[in-house]
Amino acid sequence: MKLSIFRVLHKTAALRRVAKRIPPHWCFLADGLGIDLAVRFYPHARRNVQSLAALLSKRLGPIAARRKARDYLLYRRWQNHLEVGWENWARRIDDFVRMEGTGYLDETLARGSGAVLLSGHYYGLDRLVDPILAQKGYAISRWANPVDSQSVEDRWGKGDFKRWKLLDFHGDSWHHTQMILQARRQLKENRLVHLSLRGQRNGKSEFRVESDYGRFFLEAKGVALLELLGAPVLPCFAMPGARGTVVIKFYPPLEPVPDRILQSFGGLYSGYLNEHPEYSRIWRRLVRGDAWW
Amino acid sequence: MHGGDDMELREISHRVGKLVQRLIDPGAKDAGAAPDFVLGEDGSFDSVWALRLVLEIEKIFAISVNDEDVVPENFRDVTSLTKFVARKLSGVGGEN
Repeated sequence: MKLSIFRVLHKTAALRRVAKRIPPHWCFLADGLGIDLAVRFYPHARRNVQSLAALLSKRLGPIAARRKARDYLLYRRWQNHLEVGWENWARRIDDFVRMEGTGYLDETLARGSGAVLLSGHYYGLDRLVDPILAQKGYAISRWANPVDSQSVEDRWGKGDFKRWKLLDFHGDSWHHTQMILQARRQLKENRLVHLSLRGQRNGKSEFRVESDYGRFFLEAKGVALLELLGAPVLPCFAMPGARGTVVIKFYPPLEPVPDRILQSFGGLYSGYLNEHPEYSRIWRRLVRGDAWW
Repeated sequence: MHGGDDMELREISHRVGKLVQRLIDPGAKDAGAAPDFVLGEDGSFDSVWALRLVLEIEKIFAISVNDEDVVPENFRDVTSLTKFVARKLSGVGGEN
């Protein structure tokens, strides 16, 4: 865990009252300034920007590529800071969160069979979707393989966590199956289940997605599971907006049929990657040729 | 399906064996997997396969499988799966 002024401010009991009063967009501006200084004076940050800009400049040209490479660093940091500051900011999310397409979400839930929210793996501000929706009053479970064993409360601090559960996928096939059955039960209880569809290096042509980082294939196993769970699937992307805001956009529900999911979600994901390649937080895995990303 | 009393263990075993065989090889036309057939022995066991198996078992035997039921003791081989289904049908070990 990195120690930073931001973390000290938000996690030290004596300073929390101050942290709560600082508007998130001030912190976002400070992050932007910090990134610009880091790129100028810190060789590691400069190398990061240069390597990503070199990749993106083939399609976007050097100026736009460099700006996007800088934004990649900025939004990685900003997501981390939103997580660290969440317990102090959760009560004021209307100041920095905007949701679009909630009509699709509410209409789907009104049918009573739950809904699966589908995002791109490590794309955009996807980790914010669950605490934000829980805070907004939705019952939601996050399907994830967390990097640590912290509970939701430990990781995110205060907030409306009674409505949020973590389906921890860390384990063997037995455990995976148990978690899938838990997800199924929660869908039957008309909850939301949020998962991010991973990419893999090899796959069928209909699963193919092209990006600046290379070609990859949507995870066939994930799509098969969606079909078996049988709940409607809503593509959902959490993107950075102006001045550090978070914009969560929901798309019309899809029947859990692989072809429809691939066409619709695959098309949306390709579009986002094309327009905002900088919001992919683990693009290096694809460039490196890892089996999964 | 009205409960374990109505269905002989042998009949359950036969149907479970046929189901397992069908999931392993959808084109298979033989009698079904042997009682000592270990699930996943052919490398096919993963969460998608297991979920398919659970959904089929629920449909065929009109029982409900919970997440805590999916443990190696119940799903190790055709015999253990048969006993699990029989327990569920007789109402032992949870609601069916």
